[in-house]
Order: sequence, then structure tokens, then C-alpha cells
Amino acid sequence: MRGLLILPAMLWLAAVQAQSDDQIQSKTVLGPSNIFLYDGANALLAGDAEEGVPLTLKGLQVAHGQREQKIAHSNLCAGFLMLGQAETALEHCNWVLEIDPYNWRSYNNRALAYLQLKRYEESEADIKRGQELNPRSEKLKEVKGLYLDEVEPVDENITIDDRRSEPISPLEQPQ
Amino acid sequence: MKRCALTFAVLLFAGLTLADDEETVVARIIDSGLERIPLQTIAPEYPRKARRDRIEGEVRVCFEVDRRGRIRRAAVRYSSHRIFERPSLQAVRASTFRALGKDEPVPAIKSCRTFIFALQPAESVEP
Repeated sequence: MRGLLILPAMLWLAAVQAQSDDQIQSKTVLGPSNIFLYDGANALLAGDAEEGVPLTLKGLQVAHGQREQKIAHSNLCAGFLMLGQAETALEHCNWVLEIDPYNWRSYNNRALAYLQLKRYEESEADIKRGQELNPRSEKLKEVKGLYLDEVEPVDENITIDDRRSEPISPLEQPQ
Repeated sequence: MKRCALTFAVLLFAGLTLADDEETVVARIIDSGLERIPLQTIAPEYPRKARRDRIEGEVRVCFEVDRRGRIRRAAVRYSSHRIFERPSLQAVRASTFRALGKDEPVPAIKSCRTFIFALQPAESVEP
């Protein structure tokens, strides 16, 4: 697979629970009541998906309410992407997007999953939808770059043209 | 007491690495009537973000060359996109020209170097 330099998946990690779902849009907060989710997120943050995914799965089993479930599924999507298990990641991203169709991070992650699965049209659609929701996201730009490298790869070409010159004023004359 | 909500949106950078094995093709156009002869011409790197966002562009840098062939007073004269300016200036400043002999006058002329950054469809590799 050409051009996949990095996997810019998005992970949510939350520390303290204080807001209602209505108050939270792109931000997510998770209470210390679910230590598995918290530790799983930290492990994923540290790049350890082998540890982070099982912890997050445990966290999902004991999740309180839809919001914790959403965080768990979102992080599992990112975690399974890290493990290269795009099909499984897709299921978790789909879960999140079914209940929260405005979650640009999950579009970002699902686009990556589709990209790994070479489902380019769906990947492009998710990138587009994510960028509609968050036009300034650098992560989505990264994913779009990966997508373009897959479907429209390019070679860099630099031309150096030395044909121009211009007079120097007498005051500027080099010594 | 109401707790403050802390939220982290964290970016994960994970595996799936692929070596940066794509080399940039560099073409040079040299005017045979140049006052100074290039000794070492450094090509700029194609900015990663520009490549990612499929941005192409052109930058012209003008500069003086001292008696020893070193670049002096390099400045951007024209630029189609700022993203290309820094690598162009760095490339010019790292380049050198042939030194002049003791009796040779330093030409009263500024040299300009234009960098054209382009992206072309990758050539398909035959199996």
C-alpha cells in the first residue's frame, strides 16, 4: 500500500465527567468511574494498542450510559486501526456515527479504515463529510493526503532555472 | 463543587509506515551566458504539506555572489505561494558558485534562480 506514512487516527481521552451530552459537541468527557476506559485511552495514547484495546473492551462492558459507550467505541475504532484490523475498526466507527452523525473524528477514523480496506469511494465520502463538519482539521487534511496518494499518486518535480539576472546598484556592489 | 471538564483530543500516530522512497526529480536550466558559474546547486525539498495538499508553485530568489563564490543577500523576488519560500531560500543559501580569480572583477549583476515546484502523475511501474 503506497503512501501510508502515518495513521492519523483520532482518540478521545477524558478525565473528569461534568458535562451533559447536550453540552458536549466535539469534546468528550469521561469520568474516573470507568477506570478501564481511562487506562485504555492512556495506553492507546502511548501507542500501545495491544494493551489499550483489551482495556477499552473491558471499559465498554462496564460502560455507564451511551456517552461512555460512544467513547469506548470511538477509541476502539482508533485502537483497531492501530492494530491494522480495519474491518473491526469499521464496526466501532459505525456504531458511533449511528448515534452521532456529526462526529467528525469518527468520520476521520472511518475514512482511514475504508482506506486500509481499499474502499476508496467511501473513504472519500467520509473525508468530505468530516471536512464539512470541521473544515480546518489538519488531521482530515492528512487523511485526504493519504487518500490522494492512493488514488492519484504523484511524483515531485523541481525545476531550477538560472536564466535570470538583474543589475546591482553601485551601492550594493559586493566586495 | 462543579468539576471542570477536561477534554483531550489526542492524535494517534501509529504504524503503517512506508519508507520515504520517492525521490524528487530535479531538472536544471542553466544560461550559458551566466556571469558566474554555479559550483554546487542545492535543490530544495518539496514541502510535505504542499505535496499533501497537492500545491504547486514557483519561487524566484535573487542574490549576489561574492568573490569567493558565496551567496549574499538572497531574497525572494516572486512567490506564488509562501509555503515554497523557505525551502527555496535555504537551497539558494546552501549553493555555491565558482570563485573568481584575483584579477577578475566581481560582476555588477544579481543572479536570480527560479524554482518551479510541480507534481506530476506518478508513472505506473510495469510488473
